[in-house]
Amino acid sequence: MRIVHITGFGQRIAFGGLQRFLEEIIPAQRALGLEVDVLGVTTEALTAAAGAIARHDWLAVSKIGREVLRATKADLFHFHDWYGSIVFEHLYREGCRALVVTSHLPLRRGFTYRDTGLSWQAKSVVEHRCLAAAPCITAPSGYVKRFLIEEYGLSSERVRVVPHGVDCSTFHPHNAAAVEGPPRLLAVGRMTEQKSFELLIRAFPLVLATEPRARLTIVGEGARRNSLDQLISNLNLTEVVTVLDARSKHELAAIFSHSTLLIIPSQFEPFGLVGLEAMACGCPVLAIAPTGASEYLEKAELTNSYSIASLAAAICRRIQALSEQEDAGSLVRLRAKEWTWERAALAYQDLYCGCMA
Amino acid sequence: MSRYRLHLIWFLHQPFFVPDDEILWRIDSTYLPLIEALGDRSIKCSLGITGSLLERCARLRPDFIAALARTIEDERIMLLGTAAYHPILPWLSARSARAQIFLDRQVKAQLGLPVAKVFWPTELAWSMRVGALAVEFGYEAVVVDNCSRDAANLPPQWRSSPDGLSPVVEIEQPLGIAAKIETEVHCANAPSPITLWVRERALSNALLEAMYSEEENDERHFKVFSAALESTFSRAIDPTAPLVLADDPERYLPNRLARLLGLLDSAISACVEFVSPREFVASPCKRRLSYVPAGTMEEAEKMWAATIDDLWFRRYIDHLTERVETKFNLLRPATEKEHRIREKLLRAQDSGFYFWHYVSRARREFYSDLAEIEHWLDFEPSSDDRYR
Repeated sequence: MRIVHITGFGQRIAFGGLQRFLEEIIPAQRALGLEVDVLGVTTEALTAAAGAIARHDWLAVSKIGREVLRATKADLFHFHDWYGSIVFEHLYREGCRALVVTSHLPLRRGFTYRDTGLSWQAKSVVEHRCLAAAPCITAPSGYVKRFLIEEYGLSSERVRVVPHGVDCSTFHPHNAAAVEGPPRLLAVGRMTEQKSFELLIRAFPLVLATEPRARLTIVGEGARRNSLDQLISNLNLTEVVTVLDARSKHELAAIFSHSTLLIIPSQFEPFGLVGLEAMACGCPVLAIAPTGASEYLEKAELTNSYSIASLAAAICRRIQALSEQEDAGSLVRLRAKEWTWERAALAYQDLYCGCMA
Repeated sequence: MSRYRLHLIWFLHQPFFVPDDEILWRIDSTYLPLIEALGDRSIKCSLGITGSLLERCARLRPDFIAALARTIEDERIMLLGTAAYHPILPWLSARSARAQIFLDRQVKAQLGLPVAKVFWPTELAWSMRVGALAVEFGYEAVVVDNCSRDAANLPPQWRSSPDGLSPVVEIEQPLGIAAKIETEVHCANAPSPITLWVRERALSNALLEAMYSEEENDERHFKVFSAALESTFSRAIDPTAPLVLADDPERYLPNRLARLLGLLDSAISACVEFVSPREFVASPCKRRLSYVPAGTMEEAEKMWAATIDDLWFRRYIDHLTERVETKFNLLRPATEKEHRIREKLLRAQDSGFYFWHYVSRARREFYSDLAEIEHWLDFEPSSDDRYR
């Protein structure tokens, strides 16, 4: 069976969690014997289609989609978010129904990548068309599935949850003993409003009031990097908060291994791969619910308030609880091991077979 | 010395079809963080919150009501009166409008939350009749959109076109902005004075623009807002008097919470003074008008009449309202069934019908409610004798 994943951004294939997902799922699918390839729809192609989308000239959109697809052949096309929508348009018009759409970041939740070649309105239109027509839709978590049902009016039977996994051979504890000492808090991800690192930075002085030796590291890159630096400076936190550029998987594994707690303060997290990767390295997690990370986190690992005081209190409670718990790192790693990419690949294979039948 | 003085009014509402867990999420992600952010910065404000939302919050999260009560007691927040649900009051019959206002007051009284004598008509849908209804319930001030103030005393204008004359409804930005207007409404056949608090839409729009700008630099967000401040205050009768910035925070929170915090900090650094409700109430009125034209936050009627679905729904609900009102007194339902019918009718008057049409779950719920009312009207034995 030949599968082609269709995503955005040409050679770079995607950003953030979607990029990581594709990097991990493709080898796992190949290991199952599937022939897998990736097609990236470039910003230029999307820009070229923008006018036709605005005019609702779907025939013209379809033609651009055909040019993007060129000679690419597959038994099934797997689309990720709205990026491949112009190709979807072409294939659907040609009668192809072996189409799967995974909604990683539903637009109606209010967050999207910028500079993608399409306006918000245009993205909304093409996303709506894909989700309305797709024979099979998947979501990385029950949280996203519910959002699709409630906000897009999709019926429950049309959406299947296929959770992501983690590569425990890359993400493993580097030096367990190093987590001793003052609390080392960590946040990892793109520096965008969706990730809400500002709230964590604003909560950190309150954490310091209880845990004066605590330190915070933020790893990532993104458009809000300057604003984060400015906020850290304004709050006089430059001595205790460190911002690092994005790191490779191996470097991240080392950082996770030396951290006391990973915090996911995101406003919206479809799954939160980073949490599972941290757990695989023995680093416990705290996330703000509702979140897709609820798939793999327990109640004690979630807080439900965006209030700065409540977030700080939740962090302090979690630090305290972890200090009293033996083998916290081993326990979270054990849980992470259950979430393999092989499991995700098998679920997709099953789905593909159903879709093609 | 402050450069600009603002009085903040926030308004909160969630339509009835929003599920409980989303209300809980709103409390934790939007309402409590907002109250906390204002408290941390010693910003005192006014708050309108519909009775129906408060009732749900009280059932789901009593701690939120307790926190709100504390802020009201400490005079950090002044609670405004409004409607129980979110109707466009000028559309409604007097009976329905009274029931909306009465129920809102009843919920707040039951929760022990003191309400100021200031009324926020939902959608800021003002007409002289709404003013009279507000006075009837003891309110002394009503919040209106600046379109009502700006349209006052303008001569009617028409534009000539091949089809004949058409009215010119766009209002040129007027000079002489005042945040408070004194007028008189006829209530119980006697003229009653009422003060109008005028919300400046340009400021709310600038805030919204700053919140949604693609620009990621926090300083530039404030620049967008600051430009609107400068332009609006430059046209004020008294540039040292406070103006009203009123908005619905659910339009940008929680997604833009970090931005809002940054913007508030920048505003404070730039010497913007946030005037407390007490100070704003005490600030003098600068303008008197004998008639203030109807208007809403969105101004145009077309917001609620864009499609056949909009128009037919409105006709349907108007028809059922008339029938229900001949059956029993909306202010005093006698049976459990009448209570239920009243709740369904009043909540179906929520203007959320018109704004949530892209959400498939929303409109169906309205029709389900109306179908139940119609069934009751068609099959219940007549109870005209119970009409009081």
